[in-house]
Amino acid sequence: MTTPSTERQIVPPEDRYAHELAFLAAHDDGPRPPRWRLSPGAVVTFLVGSDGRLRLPRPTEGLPESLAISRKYVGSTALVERCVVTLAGSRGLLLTGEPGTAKSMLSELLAAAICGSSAYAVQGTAGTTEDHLRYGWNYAQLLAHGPSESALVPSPVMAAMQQGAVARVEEITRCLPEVQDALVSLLSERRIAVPELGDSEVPARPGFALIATANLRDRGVSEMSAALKRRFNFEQIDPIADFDAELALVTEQVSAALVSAGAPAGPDDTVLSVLVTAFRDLRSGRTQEGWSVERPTSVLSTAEAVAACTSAAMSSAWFPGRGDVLRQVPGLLLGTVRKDDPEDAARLLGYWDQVVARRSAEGAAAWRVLWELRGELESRA
Amino acid sequence: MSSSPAPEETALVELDRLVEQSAPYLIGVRHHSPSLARVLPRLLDAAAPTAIAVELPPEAAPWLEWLTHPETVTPVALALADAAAGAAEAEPAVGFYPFADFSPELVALRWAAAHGVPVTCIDLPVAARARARDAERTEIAAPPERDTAGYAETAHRMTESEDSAQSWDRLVEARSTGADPEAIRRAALVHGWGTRRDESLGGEPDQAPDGLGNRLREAAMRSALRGLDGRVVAIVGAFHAPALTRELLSAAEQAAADESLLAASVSAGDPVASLVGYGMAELDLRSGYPAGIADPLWQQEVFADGDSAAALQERAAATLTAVAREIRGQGHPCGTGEATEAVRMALDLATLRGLAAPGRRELLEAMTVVFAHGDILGRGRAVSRAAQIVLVGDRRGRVASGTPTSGLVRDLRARLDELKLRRADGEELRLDPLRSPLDGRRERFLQRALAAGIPVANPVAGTAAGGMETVTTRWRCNSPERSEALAEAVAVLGATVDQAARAALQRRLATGWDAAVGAVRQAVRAGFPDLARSALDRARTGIDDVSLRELIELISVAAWVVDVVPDPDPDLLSACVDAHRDAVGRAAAQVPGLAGGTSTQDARLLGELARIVGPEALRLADALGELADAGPPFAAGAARAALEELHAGVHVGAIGAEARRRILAAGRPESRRDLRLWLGGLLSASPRLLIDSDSAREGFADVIGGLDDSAFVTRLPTLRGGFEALDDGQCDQLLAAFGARGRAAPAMAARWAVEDEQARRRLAAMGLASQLYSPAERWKLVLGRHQSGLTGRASTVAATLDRAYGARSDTGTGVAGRGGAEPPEVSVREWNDIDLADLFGTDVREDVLAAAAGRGDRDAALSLDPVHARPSVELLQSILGLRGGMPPDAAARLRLLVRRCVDELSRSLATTMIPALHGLTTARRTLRPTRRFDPRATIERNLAHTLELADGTRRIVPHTPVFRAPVQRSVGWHVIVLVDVSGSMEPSTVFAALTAAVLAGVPALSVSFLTFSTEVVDLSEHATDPLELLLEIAVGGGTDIALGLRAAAELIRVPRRTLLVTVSDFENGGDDAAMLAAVRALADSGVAMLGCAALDDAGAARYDLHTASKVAAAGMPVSAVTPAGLASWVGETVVAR
Repeated sequence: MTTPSTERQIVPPEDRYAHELAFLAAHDDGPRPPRWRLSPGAVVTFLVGSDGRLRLPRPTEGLPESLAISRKYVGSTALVERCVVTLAGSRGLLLTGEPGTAKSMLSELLAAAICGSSAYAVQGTAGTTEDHLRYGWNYAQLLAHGPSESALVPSPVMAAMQQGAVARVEEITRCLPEVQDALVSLLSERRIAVPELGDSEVPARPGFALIATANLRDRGVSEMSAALKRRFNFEQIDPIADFDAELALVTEQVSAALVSAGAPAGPDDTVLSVLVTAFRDLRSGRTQEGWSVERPTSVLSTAEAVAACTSAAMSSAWFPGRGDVLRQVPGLLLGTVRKDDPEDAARLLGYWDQVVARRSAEGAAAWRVLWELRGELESRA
Repeated sequence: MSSSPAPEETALVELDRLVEQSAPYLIGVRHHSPSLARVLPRLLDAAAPTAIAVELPPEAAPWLEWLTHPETVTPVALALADAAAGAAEAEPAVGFYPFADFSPELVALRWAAAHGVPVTCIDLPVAARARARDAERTEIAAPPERDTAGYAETAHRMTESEDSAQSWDRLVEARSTGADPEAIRRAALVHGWGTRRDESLGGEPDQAPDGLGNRLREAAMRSALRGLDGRVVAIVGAFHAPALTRELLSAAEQAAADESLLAASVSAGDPVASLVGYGMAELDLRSGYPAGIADPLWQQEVFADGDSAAALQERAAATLTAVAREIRGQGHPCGTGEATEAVRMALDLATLRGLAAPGRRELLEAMTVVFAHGDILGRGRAVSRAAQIVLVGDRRGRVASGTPTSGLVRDLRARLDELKLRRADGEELRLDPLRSPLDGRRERFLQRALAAGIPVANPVAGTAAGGMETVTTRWRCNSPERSEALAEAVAVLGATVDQAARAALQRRLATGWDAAVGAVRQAVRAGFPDLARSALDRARTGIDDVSLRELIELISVAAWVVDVVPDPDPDLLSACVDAHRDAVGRAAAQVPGLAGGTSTQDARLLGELARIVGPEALRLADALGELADAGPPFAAGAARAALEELHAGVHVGAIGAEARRRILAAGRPESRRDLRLWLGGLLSASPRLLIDSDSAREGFADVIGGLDDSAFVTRLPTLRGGFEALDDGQCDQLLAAFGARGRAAPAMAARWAVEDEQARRRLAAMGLASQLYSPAERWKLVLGRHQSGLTGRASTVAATLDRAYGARSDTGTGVAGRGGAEPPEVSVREWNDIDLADLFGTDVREDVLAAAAGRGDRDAALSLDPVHARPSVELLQSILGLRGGMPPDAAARLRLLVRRCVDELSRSLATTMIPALHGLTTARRTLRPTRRFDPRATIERNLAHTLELADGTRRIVPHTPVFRAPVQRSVGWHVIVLVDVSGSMEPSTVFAALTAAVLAGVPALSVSFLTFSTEVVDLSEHATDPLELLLEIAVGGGTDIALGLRAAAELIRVPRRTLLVTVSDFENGGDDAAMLAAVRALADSGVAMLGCAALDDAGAARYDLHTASKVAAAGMPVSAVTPAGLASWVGETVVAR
């Protein structure tokens, strides 16, 4: 990395947590699969954090004596364990889930912990071709000097195979099925033949593994073939199950966004809590109280909650004179919900009638304010 | 974690003392625990006890010899109950103990029997539990407030467990493989101690936490243990172990406290018991039977092989391989490679978690990750079914011969005698439960017996009709012998009728949504409010997956509890209020799905829904309002009436205005059709609207009375058609109401008379005075009732309309006479003889004939002029319905008519569809070499590939040449049209045939046409000829969507070049899971699919939104489309691929 990390908008996890990775590598003496930087147990610890401070068995230069590993992934530990076990085996790992459930983050963290780099990544789109997954050519050189290894342009996947590293394919279901199927032979035979160079082939070194992510909302755009499915272990990533964990995550991200924007005030806890509650209710179709809610079709992930909360927090930070931020909540929810299906606005109104009304009747002050705003919602819906 | 070291150290000391205690030596267990069951004999061998105490009630003692009998085969179940409590009308106290080889208590009993060591049952007698339980209900068990995380809480967090059963599995069972028996005993005691510590108030482990029940039980255990001498081993729930320390046993004041507590509570009971053979299937937690464990067959294997990690690993591998085989058996590919990966996954997960061998959790995780392919519906279900087969098992136990007969029969006999219910077969019994205490007890007993599946008497229909409970109830008795025989058959449910009723209801509410809703009523009647509440909870969790009809059932059950049941349990009441609210919300969400329908039943449902929910349902009002304002006429009418039901009196004005507008506009044929549908919807949803509401009735009377004669006659057949929705009785009431109006409002009557007189004069001037219809006559004609008083032309009109719409019976008020015999005056005449044009005008003549044809009047259809008839889908529908059994010349004449309709409709359809299919007929760009090179596209595509020449210029290298593929080369697209013909000849069916024919005319497409109901017919040979197609379609039967989809799948040659259009209302009568699996399989294979909830020119549908959304989630988008919309979907899909 030539760019100092402070000058990047987004610092990759292997740089951001370099000290933790180095510490864990020194701390951990368990058996490691070939070419892994850490043992499987230490990879899990890197993702879900350590219980208290870890202590080095012997002092190592440049490293602190003890360090608490932060929790980077708030989902279930068992899930992380399963991912790590899959990657130690011979099949690919496919992370599926609703948009905004931190699939990409999970795959980056796993790659960073296992091989020290999350850079071997391909973004799947409808325009992705086989070249992006296998190899391409530098055509000028190809024509000038004929086929040669120096004219070959390896894809990130091929580079990962050569390095024995973890390759990532984001949004694999957005690729056309015939393009996806380029991965079938690659995953089963673990080599890429280059017929243009005679009998040449690029074998995967030990340690090569593949993580793909797939967005369930894209399903049906291009279905995966059964042959490819058989070469993956599937892991479904669910939205954050625990209210407090989600609220903490949202609060943290909103505060970070406010700080980086240089906003003069922090977020309002009541608004955050109300918004996160509403997002969770609408997303799961069931409230904390066990009441049933009609789910809108729009995506209501934690990421959307962060966006809505940030926008509420920003507006109250920059325009403090506008009165109660709670008054913006119906508009923010409507803006998030009404994306694909006009019916969703009616569903949100249903949420008001069934849930907001009851909470307001039970005396929750914030919800009473929201209930009074029903008319506003109705006029805009 | 964050607690200070001092309490932690005390805790450790306390724990060590508990584990090391020798008198009594404590073995903390869970009722099913393979690990403890396995090591228990070794623990007992080492302890060499002279007495064994087990946590079973003393009533179990006589049954121990049968439990350990060598002929007894596990699993078996012991049910204990106190018949005295049941007879005294208290809720019965019960104990239910299923035993398997992996139940530590059974292992201990067997060991004791083999070694001749006496066993004492130390738990509280079952008879005493009822009082403890009742006392408990009055105590509010508030969870203790703590500053720091509790022990069990921490354990839950660390093992990611949801409850203590799961953390027990993860901390005790999973870690037991090959472990030292003493270590397992310690782990179990620690788990029990931690759970108790967290739950107990103030953190004192010797204080029983949750109320009197546990306090009593532990006092009883201590009291019994004090009476035992020698080396005593106590096998008790790990949770109770900390209450049995030496200190507590020896302290004199504790002994005194225990005895006084027991003396106050324990009274002599009348124990009854049943020991019966049980099955692994019932033992499984998910079966709904109490005291079960998940996946018993796997537990059995852990019990057998848990000593050796290697053996258990092998078992795990064998189990996963068996699951893979089972998945293959269900038709999903699952090879050895996947089985191997699953085994590796399970073993590696175990290693990563520090376990010697994989446990149940690791097995399930490996199956989900490797086998299920992230697919919850099709493959996921297959995996869970396979896992269930392999992990649950189907072994059945049996009891040794000579085991005493079931306690249930004994209890039944005693109750029959006590309540004097030994009656003759068929004897009728009338009970007055609210007045007579004996009848109250009889009523409850009969209800419970009914719930248990032992119908001592059956309720006589009408007892609870219409949701209103009558004060007295009527029962028809069955012979006692028959009841006893039935009781023998259900003995596994429990030892008393009460226990069996409870168990049966519990099981029923776990079986499905409908059963759960039904169980609410049964449980309330049988006096089990807690069960009614769990049934409601069950219904509420499934509320997303049910139809409107089912939601209405839930709403009415909830309303029944709230409004009708005397003194309902307060918790139940609030649960009902919640369920009511949820169900109303869901019902509102389903209202838009009814938009395209013209079914009277749907309209009635809407009306009923609005009647039972009450005005606070805002969302429902919104949905209805939208439908009433913008929906198709029938649904709009129904929604308008439902709104009036919801807010009585508010919408009458709107109804009157709309009726006026629609009636006045009904000059054109389309408006007449809309009026008929709107009226039909309005009156079906609210048949009493015009009878009960004076202003609504007057609105109608004004506009109909105000029409001039010819306008009235033009609209008369339409009005008659609309008012068909009322039955004879309602028509009579409506006529009576009009009569009353005349009397009650003389001013109005006077106005009518003036108007009549004016009209009469006008007509007289035209020489038509004899044709005049008075308002009263008009209503008689519209309603088709009491027409005998009509004379002259009115009488002819009435007879003709009767012929077209079916005569109403003039006598009785029932509906039996509807659509029945034709009136004699007209039956002798043929349609040709009646001058319809003269009576109604040429335009309306066709309406009347079409209506008659629609009712099956063949002559009416033949009277239609094939050349001049207005072609419409409705007319086609009616005529196609007439085809069967027609003489050849008549058929030929009808065919002409059909041909004309089909041709006209096809022509107009083709003009809208063909432009959308344009993309299919122009050449496409392709990379496959063809004769037509596309230079422009080639340059665009290869701009990146340039070569620098020696002179410094650059030249494009055509690395990827682009060609144009002529139309013929892209042929091979296959469109399969799959049409649901289960109901009647729907507009969608007609349109499907017409659309298929237009598509078949496009050269790039080949079209297959399948119809399905409960059988599938392939009509592909006629796909190009809509006339033949329509004539071949046979309607009727049920709906099995999976069957249709499978038949379609057989026709598929190249999945990625196949489009499947399914036309159905998605009211699936077949297996939903099979349907979803079929959809998923098709989607997986790459077939492009579209579900048409309706295919017609309006694009509004009436369908099961719910099933449709599940189908859509499985990969087949569903919506209502027009033929043009369908064509553009076909065009876009083909071009996109």
